[in-house]
Amino acid sequence: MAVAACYAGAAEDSASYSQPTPATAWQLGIAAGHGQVSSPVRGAANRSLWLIADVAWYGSTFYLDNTEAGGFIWDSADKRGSAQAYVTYNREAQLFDNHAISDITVPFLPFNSAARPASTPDVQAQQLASRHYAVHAGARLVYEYAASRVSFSIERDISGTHDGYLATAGYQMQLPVPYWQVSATAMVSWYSQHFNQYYYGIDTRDNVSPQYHYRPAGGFRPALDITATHALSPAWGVVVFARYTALSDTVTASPVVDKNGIFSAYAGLSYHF
Amino acid sequence: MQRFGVIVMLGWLPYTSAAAALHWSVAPQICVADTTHSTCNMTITIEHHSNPPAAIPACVLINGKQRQCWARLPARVTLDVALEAAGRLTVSTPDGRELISKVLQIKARRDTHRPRVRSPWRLF
Repeated sequence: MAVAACYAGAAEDSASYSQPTPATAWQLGIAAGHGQVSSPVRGAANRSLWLIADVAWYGSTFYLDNTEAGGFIWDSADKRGSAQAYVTYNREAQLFDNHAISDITVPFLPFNSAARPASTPDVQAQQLASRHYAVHAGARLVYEYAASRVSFSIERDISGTHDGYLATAGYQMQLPVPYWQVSATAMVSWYSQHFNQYYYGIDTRDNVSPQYHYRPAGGFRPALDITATHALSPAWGVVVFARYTALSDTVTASPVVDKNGIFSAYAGLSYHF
Repeated sequence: MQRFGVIVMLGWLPYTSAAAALHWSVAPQICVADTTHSTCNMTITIEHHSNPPAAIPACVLINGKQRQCWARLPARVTLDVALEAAGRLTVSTPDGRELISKVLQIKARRDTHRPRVRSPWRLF
């Protein structure tokens, strides 16, 4: 019997294991720079942005994305589409904040553009009862194809703040810009009457003469967003964004609103951990 | 069982005396999946290149799980495997000696890790 194995110990492959990227991953970024978020509310301050953060964690079922926490409830067979149920923190109330972090403004950005000519009585944010932040629960449908993404979402207040609804349709595309990752997003949101009434309506809760009371209807807000990032190294980069949201007529007609939209912009140096 | 034991004994002899270089090849060692979430299927060929071939009892294990055993390990073996994740292929004798140990890797044609449902830097 010819038994001759060339055995000289196990043939150990020294190559390390190469697992696919884990399905769960943290994304933690911080940026230092300057920008502002304008407020359309008369008497409220524009908000300065200096240090901003971007925090996200995605698992196979659950995720956390900045102020939103949710779970995936459906995936399409090709994995391009998914549906999520989520809870998020709505920050409309920040537009009524009159505590400016900084008085520094960027002259070439339209934060301090002239107020819309007042055809309504001059009601200041300081006369209003506090507008509180709200917590929304919602569902979203997302479909991605190539460099484009379409999404639809509907949310409802679950915090008893305004008891209103918010529905959004958005289209995002990646723009082919050399050395930069640029995404442009067009969105339109519908804010229900309850939402608009709580934030932009004026009634007996406010310290305003009854002749200036105002009751808005529901309305649409179209918005544009351009976000650009450029990697300087695996950790360091540049982030720039500009967003504009046009308010619906029923909101701009409120005596406490003196601008037609909300503008925000920021430029900074980012670091990803 | 008794016959297997005899084979083991016979197969043991060359282990202790052989000092030659290893003559086994395993191919492919990289499985290409469609997506990062899909199971990766491939047919692996384990081949002995020296002459005469090894006539020893052995088992093939994928990630420590026994897949197939032979009383006399053929000079050429083909094996269909379905990998959920990268791992290790080993060929071992009944007494636990590893004849072959190779890392099996998975590469995906398309990354299907979940994209973020919200745009980054939307906290503010």
